[in-house]
Amino acid sequence: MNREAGRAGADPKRCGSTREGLHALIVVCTWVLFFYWWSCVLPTTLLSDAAWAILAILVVSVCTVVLTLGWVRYNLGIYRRKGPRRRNLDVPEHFTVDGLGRDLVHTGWEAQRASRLITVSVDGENRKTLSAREG
Amino acid sequence: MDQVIAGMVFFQHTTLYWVMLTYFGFYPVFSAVVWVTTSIIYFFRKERMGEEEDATLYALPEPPPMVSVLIPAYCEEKGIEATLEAAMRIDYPRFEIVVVDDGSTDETVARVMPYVERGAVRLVRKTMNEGKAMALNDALPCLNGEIILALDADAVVDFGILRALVPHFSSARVAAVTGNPRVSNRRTLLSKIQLIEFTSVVGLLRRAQRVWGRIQTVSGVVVAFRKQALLDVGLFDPSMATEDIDMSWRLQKRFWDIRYEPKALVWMQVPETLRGLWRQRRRWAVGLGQVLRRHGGILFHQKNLRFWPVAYEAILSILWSACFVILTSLWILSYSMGIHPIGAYPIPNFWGMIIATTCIAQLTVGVVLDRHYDRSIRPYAAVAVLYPAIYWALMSTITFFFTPIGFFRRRPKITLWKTERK
Repeated sequence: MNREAGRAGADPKRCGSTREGLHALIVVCTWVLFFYWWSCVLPTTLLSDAAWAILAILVVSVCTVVLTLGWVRYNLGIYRRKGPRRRNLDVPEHFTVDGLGRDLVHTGWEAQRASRLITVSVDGENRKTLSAREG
Repeated sequence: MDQVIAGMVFFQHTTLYWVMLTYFGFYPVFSAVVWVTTSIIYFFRKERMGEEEDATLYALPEPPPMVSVLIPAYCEEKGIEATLEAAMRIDYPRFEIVVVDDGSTDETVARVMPYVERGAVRLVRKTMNEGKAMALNDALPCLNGEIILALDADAVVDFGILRALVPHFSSARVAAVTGNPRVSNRRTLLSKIQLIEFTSVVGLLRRAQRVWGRIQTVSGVVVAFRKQALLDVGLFDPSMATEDIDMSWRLQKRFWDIRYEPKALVWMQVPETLRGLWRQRRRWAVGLGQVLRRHGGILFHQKNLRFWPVAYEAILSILWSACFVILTSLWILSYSMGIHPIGAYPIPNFWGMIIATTCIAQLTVGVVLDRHYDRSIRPYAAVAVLYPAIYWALMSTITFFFTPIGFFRRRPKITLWKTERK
């Protein structure tokens, strides 16, 4: 598949340059605040606290990778033993009522599927009617 | 007032407070680490393939199955034509386009009719508005496809979408494949934050969940279903606020497989105002609450073991939002009364900065992984810094207040459309 193929909707709508400038300013200020806070926090942080934090994150990362790869291997093992799932469910298409329990009235599902325009309405007897326009 | 102060001070010395504080501090860091590492594993296993392997994996079956591109619409006069034009450009040998109009009161039908007259599109026109789920259900018997690609009516698909999605259905137990929604409207800062969110939270989470084996929800804006699977679980439930989350859980409870396909691109519109975003996320929170109530039993049944990581993760996220709201409210109240709360600081401390930094790192990884599919996202990576600063508070508040409403409130008969369009 060609990942570089043109994108039908890839024409993101953007705002005017003034607004873009304002957004950029807000983002830049927030980044400045972010780094400023780090500059305030780091000198007051004990090395041991920082080490514990990094260690905790590393341990979680390593455990996640090990467990995940183990899980993947386990599932691949099942796939190799049992092969791909091949059983196709054959559920009959049996539409007699709609989602609210109202009877469906129509001229036959073949006619509905062949039609370009189908009108769905509800009548006073609490039935849903589908009428197909030919063609 | 003295009693309130005394109560606050007392609470801050309880075990519950310390448990909440610890959870509040550790969960976002560790969940970010888990999502990032797991999604990177997915990336290397599934997305970094040579051309030959890629061609084999995405080869269409012979004969290619018939696909119905189903577009439910309610008052979509502004965007429906662009959606239809893009859908007509899909590169696939056998498909039909069906719009189901859910009793629109604007010019939606008038915009669609020219396409119907020239035979490019079929129209199921409902005379009454009954919500998206009912619209999908009413259209289903009229469709010719064995695979149904459900799209939002303001979504513009990439022409390669069906070639990316359909090959997954060669596996007999695949019920649905969810695509990769990209944000097309980037006029406001809020929409730019959502751009990062969909790339870095939704994209990463889907990849990670695929590795675990179950997906919390498909993206309602772009998802392909196997028709037989929908029939197997009884179609969409009109009483659920989020029929996509409900359908995802129902399918997977019946041991159907749901996959994620990052190459299946669709360009969607997101709310650009706070009001619009609030309403959308409120509905999602209520929907998740309804789903947890309806399907919560899977948390205790061993046969649904593979669902546990996804289900428990959803609950842990909700609990974290609760901690966020309760603790932040407590701290603001404490400071306003001149009391320095225990464990909190007006300016983030070291661990607070670790939380923010891991969040930004997670968002950046999401941008890096998704940049192959959306090169226009790179300039927006810098917006990630606003996510922990602004977005967390907003989303946590919505989750905290509205998920319980969905859980405890009696479900309405049907849920109607409430989408803001501009």
